Amino acid sequence: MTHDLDSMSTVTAYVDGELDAPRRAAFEAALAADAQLQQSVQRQQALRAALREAYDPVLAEPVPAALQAALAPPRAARVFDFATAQAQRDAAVPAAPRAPRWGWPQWGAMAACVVAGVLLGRQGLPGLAPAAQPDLWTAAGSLRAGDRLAQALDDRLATDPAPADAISVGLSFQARDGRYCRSFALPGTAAAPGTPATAGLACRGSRHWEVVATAAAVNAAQEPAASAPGAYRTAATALPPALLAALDGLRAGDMLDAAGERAARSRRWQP
Amino acid sequence: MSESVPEPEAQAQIAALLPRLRRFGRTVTRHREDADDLVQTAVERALLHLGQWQPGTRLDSWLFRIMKNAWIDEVRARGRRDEVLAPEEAGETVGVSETGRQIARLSVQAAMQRLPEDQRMAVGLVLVEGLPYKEAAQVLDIPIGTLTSRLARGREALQATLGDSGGMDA
Repeated sequence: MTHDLDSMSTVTAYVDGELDAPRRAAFEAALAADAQLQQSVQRQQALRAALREAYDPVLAEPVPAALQAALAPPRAARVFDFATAQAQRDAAVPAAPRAPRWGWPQWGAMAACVVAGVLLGRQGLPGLAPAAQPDLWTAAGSLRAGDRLAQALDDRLATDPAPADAISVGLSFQARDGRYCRSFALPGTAAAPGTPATAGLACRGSRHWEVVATAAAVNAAQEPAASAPGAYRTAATALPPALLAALDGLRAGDMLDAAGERAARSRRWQP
Repeated sequence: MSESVPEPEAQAQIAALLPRLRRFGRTVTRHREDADDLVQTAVERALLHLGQWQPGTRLDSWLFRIMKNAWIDEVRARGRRDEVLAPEEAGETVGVSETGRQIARLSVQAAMQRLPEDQRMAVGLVLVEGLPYKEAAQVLDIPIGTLTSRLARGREALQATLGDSGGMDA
């Protein structure tokens, strides 16, 4: 490095976009005639690019449900408008609001309140006959599959014909933590036509299915085929993009094929 | 609860910033879990103190500043405990199809984790988040001259670790 500190700070100021127009023009004039200066600039630009390359993938990661729940309006009126709430939040219902390991203990209570509100919104629509047990419910701070959904997740294969209760199971895969997870779709309610169906991801723990993500289901009929590329995405249900993103973040390897699905089922989805 | 419910627009704006807050969290902390805990703590504080944000100023800078303060509190509270913890295991993100690009990412992250706290924040704000010097200096509560010298030292250390190419030979 033959540049003194002063010209080095000019190089970084240039690369950082901190030079005003006249100084920038003067620097660029000098740059055009100075190969060594060009090398310095390239070196600084390469570092900036390397840092962006290293950290930008975070932007594409699904935002954890607990964080999204924090910003979901807790007012009943909004939460009860389930369709809107789901569409707005995209990746929607928080699975297990994880309390930070430090600070702000009231957080968990607030997030749990939102979960409860959303579930109430889904199950408590006026005129709906109360279900024996909701398909999604909270227990011990996590969102779980109810009996009907759990049974479907336990038993059904993706290739099974559409069943009478219309719960469908789509993709199965193994998550990085070793658990088997499956995508599912719950039908909209007959009592409220137009209510969007709900799609979600559930992972099998030792005793129950934990629902780790949900979103308003994409209506396959309205969805242009071009928006669902990729071989495994041709499975029974078109998954909303937010769920696909969550799924890609969770999975450790390829989707299970029919034989892998059967083998996992015979082990009761235990790794 | 209704008293502390902030304006929905502000909530929506903060929600839109979440991916960037998480990215900044990843540059500030050395552990993935710490990063999300930090964002969660900062968002909680922001919602409680929304009245302190001055409209017309940058909301992202305000949130970065809350994150910075929360992180300083946390580091202080942990005392020297954190120094015993090794930086996050690179193995966690190593997938089936390792590529040169992923390896480059991991080495840049590892180099960042070795920087001192103050340099890491300066580099994160300016080189990753793209904040102007003036904004970054305000976030960190330091004069611009201090910011640029932290940046210079940070850059030097990163380039020394990663090699002249900055670790990214096209």
